[in-house]
Amino acid sequence: MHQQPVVRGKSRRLSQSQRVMIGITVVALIVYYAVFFVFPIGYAFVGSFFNWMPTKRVFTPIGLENYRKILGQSTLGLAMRNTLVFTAVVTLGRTVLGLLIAALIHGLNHGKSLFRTIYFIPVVTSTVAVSMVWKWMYEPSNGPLNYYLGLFGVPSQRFLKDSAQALWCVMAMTVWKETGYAMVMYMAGMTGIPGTLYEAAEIDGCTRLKAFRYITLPLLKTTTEFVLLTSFVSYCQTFTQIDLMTGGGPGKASYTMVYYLYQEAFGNNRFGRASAIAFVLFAVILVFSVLQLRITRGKEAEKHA
Amino acid sequence: MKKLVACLLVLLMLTGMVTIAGAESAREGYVNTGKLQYDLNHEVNNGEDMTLEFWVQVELAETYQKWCDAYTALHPNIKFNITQGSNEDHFKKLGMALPAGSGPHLFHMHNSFIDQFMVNLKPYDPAVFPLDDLREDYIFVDESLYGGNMYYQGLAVMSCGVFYNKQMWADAGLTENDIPKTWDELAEVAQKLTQYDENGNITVAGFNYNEMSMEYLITALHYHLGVPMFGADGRTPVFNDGFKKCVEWLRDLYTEKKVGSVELPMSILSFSQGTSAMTYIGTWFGNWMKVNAPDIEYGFFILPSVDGNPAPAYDRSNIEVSPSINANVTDAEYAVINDFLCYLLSNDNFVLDFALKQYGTPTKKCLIDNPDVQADEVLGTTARYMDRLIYPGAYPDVYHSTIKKYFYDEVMLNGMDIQEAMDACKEEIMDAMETTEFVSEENKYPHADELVFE
Repeated sequence: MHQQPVVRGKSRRLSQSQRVMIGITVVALIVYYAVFFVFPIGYAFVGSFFNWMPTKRVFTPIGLENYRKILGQSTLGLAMRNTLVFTAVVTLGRTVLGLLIAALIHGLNHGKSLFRTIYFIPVVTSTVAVSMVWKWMYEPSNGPLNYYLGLFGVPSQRFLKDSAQALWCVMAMTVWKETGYAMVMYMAGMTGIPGTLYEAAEIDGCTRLKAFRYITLPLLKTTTEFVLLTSFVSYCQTFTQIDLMTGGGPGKASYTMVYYLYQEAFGNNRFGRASAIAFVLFAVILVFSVLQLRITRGKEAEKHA
Repeated sequence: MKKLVACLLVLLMLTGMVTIAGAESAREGYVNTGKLQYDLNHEVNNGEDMTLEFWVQVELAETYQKWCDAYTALHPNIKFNITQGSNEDHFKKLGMALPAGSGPHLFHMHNSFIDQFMVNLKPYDPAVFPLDDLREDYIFVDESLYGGNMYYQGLAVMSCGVFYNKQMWADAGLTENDIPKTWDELAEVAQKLTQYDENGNITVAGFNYNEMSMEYLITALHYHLGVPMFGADGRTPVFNDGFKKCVEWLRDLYTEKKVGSVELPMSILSFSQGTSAMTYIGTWFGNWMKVNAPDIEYGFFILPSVDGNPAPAYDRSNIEVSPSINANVTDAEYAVINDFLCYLLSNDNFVLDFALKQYGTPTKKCLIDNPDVQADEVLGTTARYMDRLIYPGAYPDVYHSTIKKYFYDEVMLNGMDIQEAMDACKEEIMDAMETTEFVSEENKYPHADELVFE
C-alpha cells in the first residue's frame, strides 16, 4: 500500500542522466532546425529585399524592388497559373486513379502483391530517367506515340513542342509515375477497414458500388486528406520533369514557379529576385494549405454538431 | 636478409628509372617555339609536396590529365586531383563554391562567365606572363584582359558554319562547285537535298536549324547585313528591320521552301541520325560527329553572304580559354599554379592538343598554319575566314538563350508575330543585362566601319 506513491513519485522525477539526454536531444534538434531550416529561410527572406548576386559578391538593399519587378512581369502570372493547373490536375489524377486501382487490386483474391509492385515501380524509378524516356516517346517525328496514334488515324502531334500540349504532356507523365504512391496509401487504408462492415452491408442488400460509396470512401477520408495535402505541397514545387522535358518551353509555355525561380537564380544570377519568387510561392502554398485545413475542420465541426 | 636488401635496391633502381623515363618523356612532349619561356629544369615549391584540385569539363578531362601527368613527371612533388563534370554542372558548382571561399585551386573556364566570376579569381602573375611576350606568341591577348589583368588566355578560336552530309550531297547530284555563294543558292541547294514521303512529309531535311542552331544563325545572318549584336553603346541589343529580315528568311525556309520542319529532332541529332542533310552549328560539332556518328562523312563551309559579295562579317567568333585561378589560393599554391600554366601556355603541343580537342583554330600564331589544322576541313576553313569573323567579347549566355526562346520557340513553334517577339526579346535581354558590366567589342573589329551601329 505504501509502495505505490513512491513508485509514482519515481516515475515523475527524471534521473540526472535522463535530463541531460533530453536536453542534448532537444538542443540538437533546435540547432539542426535553426541551421538547416530557419537560417536559410530567414536569409532568403532578407535576400529577397536585396540585389543579391552571390557569384559577384553583391548584396545591396533595394527594398521592395524585387517584388515590384516580378509582380510587374507577366511571367509570374503565367508560372503561377501553370503551377496551380499542374498541381490541381496531377493531385486529382493521382488521387482518383490511385483510389480506383487500389480498390480493384484490393478486391482481388490472388496477385495483390504482384500488381501492387507493378504499379509502384514507377514511383521508385528516378524522375530523371522517366522524364528522358517520356521525352523520347513524345518526339513528334520519330517517337512511338505518334506512330501508334497514326495507326488509329490520329494526325501527328507536336506534344512537347506545342505550347498548348507541353504542360499536359508533362502532367500525364507525372500522373503515370506518381499514381502508385496514392495506390499504396489507399491499399493500406483499405486493409484497416473491418470486413464485418462489408458483410453487414451485404446482408442489408447493399451493392458493391454502394458499399464503396458509403463504407470505403468515408473510412478512407484521413488517407485522402493526407494524399491531397502532401500532393499539393509537393506539386507546387515541381521542377525536375519541367527542366528535363520542356525547359519551361516552348517559350515560357510550361514555366512553373520553381522553374522560374531556378532560371532567375542560376540562369540570370539574381538570387534576390529568385528569393522573392520563393516567398510569393510560399504565401500561395500557405493560403491554400490553411484553406484546406479550415474546410476539413469545418466539416468535422459540422458533423459533431 | 641480403636477398631482401638486394630486392629493395633493385626496386629502388627501377622506380628511379621509371621516374627518369617519365621526366624524359615529359621533356620530349614539350615544344616551345614562342617567346614565352619556361625552364624545364627548375624546382617548384622548394621540392615540397603539393596537391592541386583542378575542376575540368568532362570533354577536356583526358587532355588535362595528360598534361598534368606530364607536369608531375617533371615535378614529382606536384600532384593534381582532377574532378570532371558536365559543362552545366561544372559552372553551376563553381558558381556556388567560389563565392563560398571553397572550390578548386584552378579550373576550366569559359569566357561567358568572366563577368560573374571575376571577383573570385586571381589574375595570372604578370611576372610569369609578360604581356609583350604573349602578344608576340598569341592572338586574342588583349581580348583576354580585364582591367589590365589576365584571368585566362584564349587558346582556340571557335566559330560556326554549315555542315553537310557528303553522301547525300553526292546523291543529289551536287559537287564541290555547288557550295552556295549566296543565301538564295543555299536555299536552292537545301531544296535539292530535301526528301519527302508519299504524303509530302519531310523524311530528310535539306536544312535543319532546330532547337540549338537558329539563335546563332540569326546572328550570323544579321552580320551579313551589317547589323551588329549590340548598338553604339555596346550594351543595347539590336532588333531592327535587318534582324527581322533574317528571321523572316529563316522562317520561309521551313514554311514556304519546305526544306525543314520544326517536327524534326534537334539539328545536331537529326544530322547525326541522317535525317538532315545540312545544319548550321559551332565548329565544335566536327569533333562531336567524329565521336558520336563516325560513319557519316561531312563537309563544312562558312555561311554564304547575301548576294555573293564579301560580307561585312561572315560570322561571330569566340575563344576557348585556359584555366582560371581561384582567388583563395595561398602564395605557395599561386606560384605553383602560375608555373604550371606557364608550362601549358608556352608548350605548342598542349595548345595544339587543346585546340584540336575543342575543335577550334589555335590562337598560338605558330600553330595557325600547322598542317594538321590546315588539312582539317572545319579548322582550315575557319582559319581562312579569321579576318572576317567578329569577336563580340564575352557576352552573357542569356543573349542567345533569350533569342532562342523568342524566335525558335515563340515564332517558329507558337507562331508569334516577329515584331512582337523582337520587342519582348529586347526587353528581356535588357533586363538581364542589368546584372552584367559587359560592353561589346564589336566596334574593335578591324572592319567595324562596314557595320551600322545604331
